[in-house]
Amino acid sequence: LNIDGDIDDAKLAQIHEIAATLLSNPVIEDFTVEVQG
Amino acid sequence: MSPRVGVITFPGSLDDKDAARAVRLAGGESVALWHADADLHSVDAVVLPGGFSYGDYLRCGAIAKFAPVMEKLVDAGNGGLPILGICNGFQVLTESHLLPGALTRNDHLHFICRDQKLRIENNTSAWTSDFQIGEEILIPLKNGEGGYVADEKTLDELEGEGRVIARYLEINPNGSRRDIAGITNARGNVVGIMPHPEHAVEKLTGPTTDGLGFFTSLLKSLVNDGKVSV
Repeated sequence: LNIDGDIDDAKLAQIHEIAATLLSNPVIEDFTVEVQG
Repeated sequence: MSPRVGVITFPGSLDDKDAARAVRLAGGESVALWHADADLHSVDAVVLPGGFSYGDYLRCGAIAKFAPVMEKLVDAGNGGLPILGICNGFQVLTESHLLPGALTRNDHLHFICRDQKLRIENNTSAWTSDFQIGEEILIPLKNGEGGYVADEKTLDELEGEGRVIARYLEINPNGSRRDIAGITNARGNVVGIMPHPEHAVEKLTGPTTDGLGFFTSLLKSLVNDGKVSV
């Protein structure tokens, strides 16, 4: 995901939600969130 | 008054017309529902048809679950509305958490298209009451991501509560756990099945007419529940 601006807790929580509900299916997939750049 | 059965069309739906025809052949009135329409138009039941909703991007059914019509459908399903998800519709139901588990890439990695023998395991759901337990049926199967998976606890719950509605016979075509071809929710109103009953409703085009039983089951259950009269 490309995010504009700094990553704060609210944005990080939103990214986790996107990862858990759209980008992955927790029934069959695991995910990690890593901030780069 | 004929029961009104909605058939949802997503971008990429393939079998919505066949599902609507199966509804009509069973004696119902088919109602076309559009993915972008957040309204179920007072239908008595809904079919999520097969195909490739939103091009199967990301995962099969993953984007469809965010369609405006799905918000109403999930609420209605949790409230008891009969819903049948066929193939891609089954994938949408698991992604939407109306049914447990997930559908994964076939274990042999090939798309498969064949007539598939199944054994009916449950005749108490809204969509299977017109069958006998142990009845063997033959209907088409066509999928690339049809392998049903769930954790052992969930599989044991499905088995223990009689929620496996059909199992593959003679050959497991996609690596589905415990040969599962279809399941229902605890209430019995939501059913997902990977093979295609809507393609086996007429002698001219299907290998059998065995699939019609899913649709006549629905109509009978609606009548028995007093939801509609005929």
